[in-house]
Amino acid sequence: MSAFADSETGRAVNRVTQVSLREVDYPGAPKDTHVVGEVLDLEHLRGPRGNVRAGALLTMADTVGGMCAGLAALPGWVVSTNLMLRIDADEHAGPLALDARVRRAGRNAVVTQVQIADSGAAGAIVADGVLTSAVLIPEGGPPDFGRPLVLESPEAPDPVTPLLEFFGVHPVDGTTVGLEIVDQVRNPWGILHGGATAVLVDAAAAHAVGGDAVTADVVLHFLRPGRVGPAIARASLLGVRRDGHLVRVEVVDAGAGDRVMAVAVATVRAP
Amino acid sequence: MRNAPAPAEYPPEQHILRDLRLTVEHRPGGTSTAWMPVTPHISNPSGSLHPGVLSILVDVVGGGLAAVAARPDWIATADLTLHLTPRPVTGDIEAHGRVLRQGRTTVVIDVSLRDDHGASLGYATMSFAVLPRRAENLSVDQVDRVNRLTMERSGSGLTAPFDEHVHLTVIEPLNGIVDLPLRDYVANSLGAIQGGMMAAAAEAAARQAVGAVGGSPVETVDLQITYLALAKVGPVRTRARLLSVTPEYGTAHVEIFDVGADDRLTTVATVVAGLP
Repeated sequence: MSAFADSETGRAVNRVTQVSLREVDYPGAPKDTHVVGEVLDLEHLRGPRGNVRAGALLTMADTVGGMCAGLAALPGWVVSTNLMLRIDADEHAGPLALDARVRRAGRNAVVTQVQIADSGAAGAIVADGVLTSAVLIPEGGPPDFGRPLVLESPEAPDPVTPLLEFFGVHPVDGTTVGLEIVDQVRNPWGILHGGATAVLVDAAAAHAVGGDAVTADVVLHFLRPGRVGPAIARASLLGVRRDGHLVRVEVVDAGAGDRVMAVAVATVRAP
Repeated sequence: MRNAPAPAEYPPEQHILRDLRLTVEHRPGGTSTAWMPVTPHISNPSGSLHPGVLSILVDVVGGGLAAVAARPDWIATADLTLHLTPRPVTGDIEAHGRVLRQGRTTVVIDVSLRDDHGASLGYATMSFAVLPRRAENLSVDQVDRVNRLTMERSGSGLTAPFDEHVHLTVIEPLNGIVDLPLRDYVANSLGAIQGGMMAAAAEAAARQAVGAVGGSPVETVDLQITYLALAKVGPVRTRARLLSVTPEYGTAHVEIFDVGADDRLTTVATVVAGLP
């Protein structure tokens, strides 16, 4: 049994991505759970080349996919274990439309297909991927959402904070970045939010390649929870090919004896 | 419907794992290494290695490690990713795997691919779901010393290019429709199509679709595969939908259905293929 550390913790990360969510096709069987979302304001999520950062897209995918998986897992709830996202568009007009559908709802795991489309570019696909979540049984019961789920976008911080600044991502050396595990970046379980880990992975991969590099493809395995911090992401180059640099990123909880929290592989396009 | 081989007989004498002439070394402490000789039948026209074959190789390494890590329970492959840095290769290739996480419900593995000079050829990750052991599961021993075994038998080896040899048949290139029959030759120990072979089918589907749209042959560089259900009846049939195409690369979303099981969706994949 696992308990939510604080039911209010975990809402903060969505203040930066500002995802609104809505359940469709309700009521239905768990395997038919379908959640859509929208992100209106992209400006503070953009990187130096004007595209929405991969870390932000991964966080959105984790948010909509995780909510879809959680609703399918009721009365249990879920924690992300594996997020795979292929990002295919370099320019993002916005707003972005999010879509998550359950592909498999098992006793121990839920698989959701996630797609992000650009409503401002005739629905062009921005990213496509799969989120796998493990099913847990919270001691205090699952979060109390009305059905069909409708979650408005939370109020944005004033002033609006750029993505990396919100998460406190800072360079450590030429191939390493880090962030402190403070309440603002924790999820409802009280551990480092999957979106924060994704932002850190994206930042480390791009930082290691250098310049205004853009992360195009991420496979992220969440291995263990981050509780103490700082979370440190170290990137290592696996190889170079025509479409970019292949980079492996390992994220450790430095305050917990460098316990490995996550491993990722990313394709990064150099300028 | 076919009969699954008894666990003690796996792999059978005639099996893709034997014809790829794999040698695997398991070590205490959660690492394994496999070697495979490069032959023209597992190479692309550019001289790089066939991604479907590499998927089988990493699945064997990862599956072996996960099965030991999950003892006394059993495992099922949940997802497999493969990222390649393709270039012409000769000699042997080496796949080195290690356990990244050994949990109550999942085991996570990574596998590094190298040529026999130690240069990187790619990187793979796999997640395995831990399942209660059933009578038909293979028995797995604890690895308490270095244990090397070869799957090769006298006369083992592919007799045709890989796709042809395993009966991957292209039905409709533009929509990435490829068929693969279920035979003992490509089955896993449960009698379903082996996970690496399913990856090979997804790879072939995307390669066909991207190549058909671009008008030139392409080679796969990335695979992201999620297994939803075992393909127990067969044949399986793929369908690919292009997500993006540039002059050099294309990305396809691939679904694989078990035609003999009422077109049950078994696998979803995202595949990137590009000009060699």
